[in-house]
Amino acid sequence: MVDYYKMMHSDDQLITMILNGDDSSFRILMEKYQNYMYSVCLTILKTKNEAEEATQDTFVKIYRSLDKYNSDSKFSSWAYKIAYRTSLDYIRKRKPTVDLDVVDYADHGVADSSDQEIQSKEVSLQILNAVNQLPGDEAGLIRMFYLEEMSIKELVEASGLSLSNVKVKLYRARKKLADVISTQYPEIESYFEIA
Amino acid sequence: MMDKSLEKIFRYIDGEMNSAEMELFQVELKSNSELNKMYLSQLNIHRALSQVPTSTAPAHLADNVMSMVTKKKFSTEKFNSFSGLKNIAIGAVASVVITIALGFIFSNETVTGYSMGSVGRYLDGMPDVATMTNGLYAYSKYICISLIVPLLIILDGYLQKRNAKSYSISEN
Repeated sequence: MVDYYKMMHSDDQLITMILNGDDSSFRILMEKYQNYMYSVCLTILKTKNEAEEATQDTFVKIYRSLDKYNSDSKFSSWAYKIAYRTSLDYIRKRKPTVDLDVVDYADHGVADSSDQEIQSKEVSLQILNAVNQLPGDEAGLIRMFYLEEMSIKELVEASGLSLSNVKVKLYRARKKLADVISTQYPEIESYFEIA
Repeated sequence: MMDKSLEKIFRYIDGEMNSAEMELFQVELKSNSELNKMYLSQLNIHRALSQVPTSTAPAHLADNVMSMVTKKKFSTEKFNSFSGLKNIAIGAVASVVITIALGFIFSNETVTGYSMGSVGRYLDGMPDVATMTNGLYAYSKYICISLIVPLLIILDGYLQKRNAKSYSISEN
């Protein structure tokens, strides 16, 4: 049963309750962030099975190291940092011969929607497929920067890279993405009517 | 050239330019149609990216994590405390001590003052024939011994169950 009262607590309040032994608060915290963490893992790893495993590992790591969390920083940034690094670890541990069953965002479904919604969803799918063509670490940065609307400062914290490194990597990733879009999905470049 | 332009566009979109740079860039955008085209295309990509929905995590993910976290707690608790083995060892030592004490207390020898002989007879496992005359007293120590060990084991099981319950995850 979902505890709606607890859902109204802030992240820091939930963390305090978890540290006092209330594990049901951890479930609430997890349910709040699981889609975001899964999205980052999926963007980096590009396979659903691995993304699911990495997300589970992320939350187990979060649970075990909650006492080390410094409330001066945002909980989400700290959690993304764990998700980002866990996913990169998965890439490092991959066997080179493994044939990846790369996620096809086309199966995200566009049925039962209005024309405008369908068009918008198609653009989203094309964007996701374009991001999917970037290397894992760069795709992860793009995901966190645009989709999770993280600032450069938050990206530095999440990736563990230096400020200049983040800027360089992000620039490269955006440039690559622009190249992929202009060659494969040029319609995105003019999707919005901008005066 | 294109890289420089792209870098400028990103800095402009991200709001990283100071006011002087921004003014200069806006003038450039009006005069340079190629740069303007690149800017509009990047703005479109930026907007499209910002609209992409979050992927939905599998429904069982939270349950899996909770069971992993709970399982870890159980095993850690059992491994660290050795509560079962410890209690059984204490129980065994306690039963030996109690048995010896009972041997002294209920033996016929206690009437005339106890000796090592009564302990020795206890350790042999059989009461002295002479003490048999004392009926219930002679057998009470064996009844006590046979009850103490299973009682300790039951107590140990109960304590472990109670310990495990306090670590289980409440759905509420």
